[in-house]
Amino acid sequence: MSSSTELTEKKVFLLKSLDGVIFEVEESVAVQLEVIRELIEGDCARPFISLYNVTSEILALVIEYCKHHAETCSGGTSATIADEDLKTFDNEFMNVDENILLELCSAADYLDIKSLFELTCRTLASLIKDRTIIEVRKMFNVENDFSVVEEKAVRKEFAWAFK
Amino acid sequence: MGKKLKRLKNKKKKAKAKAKAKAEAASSARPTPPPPPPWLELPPEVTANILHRLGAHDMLKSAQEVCTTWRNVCKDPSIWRVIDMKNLGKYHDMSVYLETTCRQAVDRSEGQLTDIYIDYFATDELLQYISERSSQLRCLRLGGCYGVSGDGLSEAAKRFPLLEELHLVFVMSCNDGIEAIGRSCPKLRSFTLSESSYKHSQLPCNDDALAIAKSMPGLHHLQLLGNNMTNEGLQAILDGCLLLESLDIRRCFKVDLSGDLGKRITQKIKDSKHPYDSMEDCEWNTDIFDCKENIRFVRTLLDFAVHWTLKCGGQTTTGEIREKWTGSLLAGWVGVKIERLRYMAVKEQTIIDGSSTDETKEEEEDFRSCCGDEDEVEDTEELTKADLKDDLDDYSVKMYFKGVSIAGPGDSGSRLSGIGVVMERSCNFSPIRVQKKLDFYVEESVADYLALLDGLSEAAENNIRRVFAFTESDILYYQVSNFPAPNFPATSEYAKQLRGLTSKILSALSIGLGLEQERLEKEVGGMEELLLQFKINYYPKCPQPELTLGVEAHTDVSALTFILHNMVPGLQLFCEGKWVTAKCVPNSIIMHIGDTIEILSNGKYKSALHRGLVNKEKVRISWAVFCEPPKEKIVLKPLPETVSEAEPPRFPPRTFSQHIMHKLFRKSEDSGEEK
Repeated sequence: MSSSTELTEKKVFLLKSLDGVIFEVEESVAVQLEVIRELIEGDCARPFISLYNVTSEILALVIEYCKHHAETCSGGTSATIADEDLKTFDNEFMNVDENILLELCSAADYLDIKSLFELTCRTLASLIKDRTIIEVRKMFNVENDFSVVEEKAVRKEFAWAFK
Repeated sequence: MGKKLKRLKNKKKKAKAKAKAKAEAASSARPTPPPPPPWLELPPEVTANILHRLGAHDMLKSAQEVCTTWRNVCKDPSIWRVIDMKNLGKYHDMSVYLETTCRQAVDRSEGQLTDIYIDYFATDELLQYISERSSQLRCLRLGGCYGVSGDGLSEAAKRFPLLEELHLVFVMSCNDGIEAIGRSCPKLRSFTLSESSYKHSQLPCNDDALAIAKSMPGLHHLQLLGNNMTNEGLQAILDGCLLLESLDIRRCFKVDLSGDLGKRITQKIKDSKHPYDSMEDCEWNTDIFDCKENIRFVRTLLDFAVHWTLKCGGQTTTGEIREKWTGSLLAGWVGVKIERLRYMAVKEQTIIDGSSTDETKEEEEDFRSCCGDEDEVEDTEELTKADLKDDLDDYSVKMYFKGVSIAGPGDSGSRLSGIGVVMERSCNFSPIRVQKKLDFYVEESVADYLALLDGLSEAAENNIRRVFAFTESDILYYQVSNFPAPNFPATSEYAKQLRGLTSKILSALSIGLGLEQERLEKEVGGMEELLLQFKINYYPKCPQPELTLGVEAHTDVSALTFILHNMVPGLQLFCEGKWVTAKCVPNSIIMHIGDTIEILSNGKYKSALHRGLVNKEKVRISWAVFCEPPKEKIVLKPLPETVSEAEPPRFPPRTFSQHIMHKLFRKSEDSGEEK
């Protein structure tokens, strides 16, 4: 990935969000989005790439994430320092509200950014972990959509385990 | 939030195709569907990915109850291909519940299970259940599962023909199944066998290594941690497993890699870790399991004790104890209730110079500083204290225990372990303290355990019946409370046999005194009242045995004491003015007379003054059974037949518990007197 960046001149690509905002990104950042890398390789990336599933708010965050990772990785610092730096950045980056997190996760899945997908999934899981069912519902604004009968069935299924 | 997120109708590939198709046509459409809850909009496989990270237990226990979407995700067999039930230590005393949960998870996989990880609660039965339903299994990892036997594992392995990875971390006594497992699983590529560094037997043993060499020729990765193999075993592995890419033999201290063998490893194996390499990056959390094994020992000891009192004694029954001390760790011999103590006023720890003569004092300070001062204890534990206040009688203590391990900077720095125990008693008695510098270094979790063990021993010596133990170690607390009580059929049989032997010996002793055969037996309570108590003494090996005593010189208060041991000499008797070491005769049982018989016989039979030493090279364990008369019911005094004008009674009449008190006071008031 990095070798191609060095060989060619700095290319920029235009990404267009769901709400029509256009972002200009360098190739080194764009190729981290697996979907876009494929488009670039297939020479389908002109004049700009429309991303129907990502809002400008989320796309801006995604680009920030990819930029930082691209810079840190090519920055010539030693691997351990880069690792530390990324860890700190990732922690900071995940410090957002749960709905943004969900949208980031969804975007990372759609844009196929493996490290961001892993990071968001991990973070979401840690938010759910050790919370009660009611807390989880509240936190993510999920409705209890079980019918009374269903709910009873769920509980019943578990009653035996406590005998 | 109000953020719009266009519905993801298609999976990624379709989305990509679409993006491609529309890449040139700039779409200006601005779809504005109503914002649905974002969770429900995640593709199911993403939701599955997230929920799977919660582990099998949380998925079943909570996630699937959140909403129908999640429930459906949790019903899909594919999410159960990997079942993760690691680190569930917080569900202490719920191993049956965890096992049933695990079975349910296995059911849900509908035969698709490929990977399963279980810590602590696996049993042979559970493995059988899994093996009958999961012929696709590729990776099995068991950690700290003492309910699993070599037979159980090898039986299960027969049904895992595709198994590629097997990781056994502190799974006791699985070793005898290795060869059978190897034969059943020809595809095995990766194998881990990890022992505790604090193993009871430290003898060199190549059985594991030879079994691996013989039956697992296809291994690419082998981890043998803390194994007692020697170069011979390692050589066999190198000869037998020609495909090895990585070899990790950390903590295998009986292997010497300074010669050709070391060179051979370096040349042949890409990635190797040597015995003295750091364990820091080891993925198996060895401290926890190490500690677990130690706890297992404590539990074994306590459970033995419970069992014994139940089987052999008339006074205590399970019902009584359980009712009184619900939910706590119990034993008839010493009832132990472990509480967590949350206070952390740790001062900077000073490194104690090993040669210093003021050790005890410094250690005391050190121990104090680790425990915080008593005021703080009072502050944080006010509730518990208030609860317990009324419960403290003459036979109960509150025990605060702590292990301290200090390692100097770097590997070469001085390393030191010590233990400290303070037992507070009811206001009639002064506290009991145990403070020791250990002659060997152990990790702090192990030192904590040793402190507990020593505290319990000391409590038993002082005839304490109940211990409320407080620890600040979460690990220890969870593990003590988490370990399921094992069942010991062998013990009850031993009790039965021993009770018969007791009668025989008592009758022989009666005849020796010129009494009727049944007399002494009757005097100490007969079948109904004579109580057998069980105690296990554990003496770690000690590099400088001359500096320490395992158990100080004493006579037993019992009528008779029976001792079994692991053939390591250490018991000494005081005989004709000097200490004589008892010989270890194979297949024998050691018996000696205690105070009760001495009193009854008016000193004609002597209560044996004895002590226990530690051994330089070997761990010593002795299993002692004390036959004791009932506490209050019988007044012990020299039998009239043993008293004459020439031989006046040498002991005043006392009940058994009065005798113990008398002994205890004599000990604390005047330690110069013979103990």
